[in-house]
Amino acid sequence: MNHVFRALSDPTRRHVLELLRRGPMTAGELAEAFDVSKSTMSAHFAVLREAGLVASEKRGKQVVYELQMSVLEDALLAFAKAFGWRLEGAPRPKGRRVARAGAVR
Amino acid sequence: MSGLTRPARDAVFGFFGLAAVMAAFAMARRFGAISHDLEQRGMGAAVGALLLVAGNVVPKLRLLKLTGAESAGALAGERTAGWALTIAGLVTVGLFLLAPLAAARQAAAVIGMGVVLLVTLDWLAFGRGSRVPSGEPAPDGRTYSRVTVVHLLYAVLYVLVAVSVKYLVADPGLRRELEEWLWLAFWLGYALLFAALGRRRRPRRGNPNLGGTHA
Repeated sequence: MNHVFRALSDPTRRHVLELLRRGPMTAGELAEAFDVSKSTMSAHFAVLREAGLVASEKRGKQVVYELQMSVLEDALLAFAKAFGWRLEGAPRPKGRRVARAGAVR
Repeated sequence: MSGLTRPARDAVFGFFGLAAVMAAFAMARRFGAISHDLEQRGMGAAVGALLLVAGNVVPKLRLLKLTGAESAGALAGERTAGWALTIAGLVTVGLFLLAPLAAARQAAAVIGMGVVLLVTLDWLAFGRGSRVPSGEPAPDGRTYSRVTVVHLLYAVLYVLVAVSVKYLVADPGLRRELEEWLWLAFWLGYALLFAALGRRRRPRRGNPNLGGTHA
């Protein structure tokens, strides 16, 4: 459960989870929505994967992420979002840009 | 059990743990250790907890992927079903712990039938959504866990309907007749479910990697 709390403590990762509610997205599409480096995004993806909140699947050269949250984890996300739960610094997500499939892992 | 993912394994342990709790209440009542009311409250709360355990894991395992549905609609459908089952479970546990027993039984029965209907309609609507191009579920190593939890969920929903009928129908003759029909419907439904899941998981000729994933 510690991994889940750690994953949900960061606003960027919470925003990634919100984006994935629309359906599976490639790493490149997700990275496009944030003004951070690809390595930083990769680190965020790793934390989310480790917490079991997302699943990844390799399709050709792309890595596709999809949501896999239980009801309890969903409720925790809503709680964290409502109360601005933030334990560590993270860049704010920028407006969604045109989706481009990238090769960010 | 070794092929199950962590959430599926937790659900299986939760299911059998609660079944053991229900058996313990029944035995305790049989040997006169607890009153009839306490047995009823314990059994009702355990059924509510079963709903909670099953509902919590539904969106995590993406059960509708067994039908090949991968759209955002399918995700929303799983989320709706998961939340409906979880909230129904919480309310049922609360009713059997706090409300007068007669009122708790009636209210829980209505909630139970309502949530079974909601989940059925929800999955009929979203389970037929956009599919992967081949019409087969994309194998991702969680198929065995999904199939296991679908069987558990089917059993939980049957228990819920059976208990609801018992609580709602006062006439013993009609109740016995309905229980017999329900038992028949359970096995017919199970056979259909078994056949449907087997068809989905059958490997296709020329591509043995599709379907039948047990990891």
